[in-house]
Amino acid sequence: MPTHSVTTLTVQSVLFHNEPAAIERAARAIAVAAQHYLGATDTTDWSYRVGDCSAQPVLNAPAQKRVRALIEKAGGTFHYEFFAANLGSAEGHNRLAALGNETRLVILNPDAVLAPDTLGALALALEGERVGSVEARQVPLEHPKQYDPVSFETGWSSTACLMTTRAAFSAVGGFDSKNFFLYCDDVDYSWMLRLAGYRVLYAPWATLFHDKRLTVTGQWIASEAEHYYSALAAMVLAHKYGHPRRARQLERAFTRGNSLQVRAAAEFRRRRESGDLGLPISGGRKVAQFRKGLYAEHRF
Amino acid sequence: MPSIVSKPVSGAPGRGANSVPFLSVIMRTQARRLAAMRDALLSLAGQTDQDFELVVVLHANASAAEADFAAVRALVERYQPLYDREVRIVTATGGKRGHPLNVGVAEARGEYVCFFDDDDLLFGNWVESYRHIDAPGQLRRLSCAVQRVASEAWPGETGFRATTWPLAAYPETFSVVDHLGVNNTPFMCVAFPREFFFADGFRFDEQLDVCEDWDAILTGAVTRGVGSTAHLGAIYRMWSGVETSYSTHHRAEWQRSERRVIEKLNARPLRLAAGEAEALHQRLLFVEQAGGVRFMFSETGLRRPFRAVLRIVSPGIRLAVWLRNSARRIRHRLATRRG
Repeated sequence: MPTHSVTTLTVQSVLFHNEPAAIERAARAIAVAAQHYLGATDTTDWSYRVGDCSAQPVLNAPAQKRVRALIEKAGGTFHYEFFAANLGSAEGHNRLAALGNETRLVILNPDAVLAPDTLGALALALEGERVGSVEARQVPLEHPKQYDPVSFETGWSSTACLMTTRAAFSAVGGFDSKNFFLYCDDVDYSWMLRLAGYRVLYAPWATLFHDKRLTVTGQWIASEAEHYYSALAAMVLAHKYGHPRRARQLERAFTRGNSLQVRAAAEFRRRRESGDLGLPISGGRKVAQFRKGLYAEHRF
Repeated sequence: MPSIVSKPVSGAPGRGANSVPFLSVIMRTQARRLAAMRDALLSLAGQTDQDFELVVVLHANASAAEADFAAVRALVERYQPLYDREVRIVTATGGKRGHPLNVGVAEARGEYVCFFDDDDLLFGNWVESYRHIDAPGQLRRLSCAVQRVASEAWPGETGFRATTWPLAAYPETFSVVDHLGVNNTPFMCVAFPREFFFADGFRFDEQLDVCEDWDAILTGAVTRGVGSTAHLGAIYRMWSGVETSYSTHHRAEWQRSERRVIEKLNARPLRLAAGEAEALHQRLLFVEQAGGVRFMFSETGLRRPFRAVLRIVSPGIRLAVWLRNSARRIRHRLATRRG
C-alpha cells in the first residue's frame, strides 16, 4: 500500500478495445500534466492505474513498458490490470479505486489527452467548500450542460475527466455499478454527491481533448452501446430518483422504439419484476432533473 | 524589413530533425485570447496523425508587444512535450494580416501548409483527413462547423463559453463559382501544397486589410484546383463580446479588400473544376431572369413607387410569417407530446 501523504493522486482509466497508440498518447499527456500538478500542489505521490475490460489486453508488454517509463519519469507509479472480463465503466472504476487510498481520484477517459494545467486547475477548484467533484471541459465538443457563471456549479458532471475526493467517493459508495454498467453512471454519481451535501463543479478553464466527431451534417454519432445503455439508464435513473411515472412513460415509449430501445425496455422490466431495481432512494427528487430526455438544463 | 527571430522551444521529444513533416501548421497570434489559444494547442496535441510541425508567428504591432508574447512563449513551452516535433516560434513585426503569414510560410518545411488561427478548434482527424484526400498538387479542403462563443469571467482571466452546438454551416464540397461570391472555407480547412508557395511563388498580399485567406484560396483553386472531402475537420468559432476582425475592420475596408481580390483574379484566366460549368450556367440563367425585376434595385422611374408599396404591405407580410411560424411550432410540440 502506498505511503499516505498530505494529498495523493491517482488517475484511473478503464479500457475497452481502445487503440494502443491512443492510450500511449494519453499517457504522455497524463505524465506532462502530473509534472505540472506536482509543481503546483503539495502532492508527492501519484499513480496512473489502468483497468482493461477488453477480450485481449490492449497494451502488450512493450507498450506497458513504454507507458511505465513515461509515468515513472514524471514521478508516478503505473499499474495495469487486465480484468479479463467486461466489467463496465462503473465497476471498472470501482475496482481501480479500491486498489489504493489516494486522497484525490481522477476518472479519465482512456484516450483523452489532458492539457498540461488541467490537473492543477481541477485540484484548486476541488479545494472549495463542500466541493465533491470538478469536471474538466471537453475539446472540441464541449458538453452543452448549463453551469452557473459565478459559482460554476452544475447539475451533474461527466466522467470524461473528473477529479473527486476519496472522502466524497467513499461517502456515496463509489459508482453504482449494480444499476449502471455504462452511461449515466456519472449522472448518478453527481446526484448522489449532491444528495450527500457536496457541490458538483464545472471548470471550463481545465481541459482535455476528447476525440469525438460529428457527421458531415453536424450530428452526434452515437454507438449502439450508447443507444442501449442510455435508454436503460434513463429508466433506471427515473426509478432510483423517485420519478416512477416518468419511468413507466419511458418504458412504454422504448417498447415502441428501435430494436435497442426495445431491448432496454425489456431489461428494465426484467429488473423491476425480479426486484433487482431496489427501492427509490430517499430525497432523490431534490437533486434529479429530467428535462426532455436530458438531466440538466442545456445551454444549447 | 520585418524582424524574424527563430527560437526552437526546448524539450521536443520525437521525430528526426531532418524528416519532412506532412503538414506545416502556421499559427499567427497577437496574444489576445490565451484561453482560446490553449484550446487550439490542445487540438493539435489530440491529433490522431502527429506528422506535423507547428510554427507560431508572433505578430507584433500596435496591438501586441513583446511583453504580451512572453505568455505565449510560456504556453508553447508547456505544450511542447505533447507534440512529436519541435515547435518553432518566430516574430513578425508590423504589417497587416498577411505579413505574419508570409513570415510563417518562409519557415514551413512540410509537404502541405495550413493556417490555423489561435482561437479555433480542430477535430481529432484534421491532419489525417488531409492526408486521405487524393489530390496530388492540389489544394486539399475539409468541411467546417461553426460555433458561437461568448466571453465570460473565469478565475484570474477572461474565458468564454460556447452558446451553440457546432453547426455544419458551410457547403460540403468546394465550388470556385460559389467562392467567387463569398469565402465558404475557414482558413484552417484548406491545406496548400508547398509548391503553391515555393514553385508558383504565391505570397500573401500585404496590402489587404482583410480577405487575405480568400485571396489565397481563390488563387490556389483557379491555378491548381481543389480536392475536397465532406468530413468536418474543424470548428470555426464566432466570438461575441470580444474584438475580432469583423469589429476592428470597417465595412469600407472589407469592401476595398474584396474588390482588390476580385481585381487581381480578373487579371488572370480562370480554371474551373468538373461540374462547375453547370453551376455557372444555372447562376447566369438566374441573373438573366432576375433582370426582369431589376427595377426593384436600380434607379428607375418604377423603383420609388414599388418601394412605397412594399413599405405599406411589409408589416402585414411580417405578421403573416409570424403566425405561420407560430402555428408550425405549436403543431410540432403537439406531435412531440403525442409521440
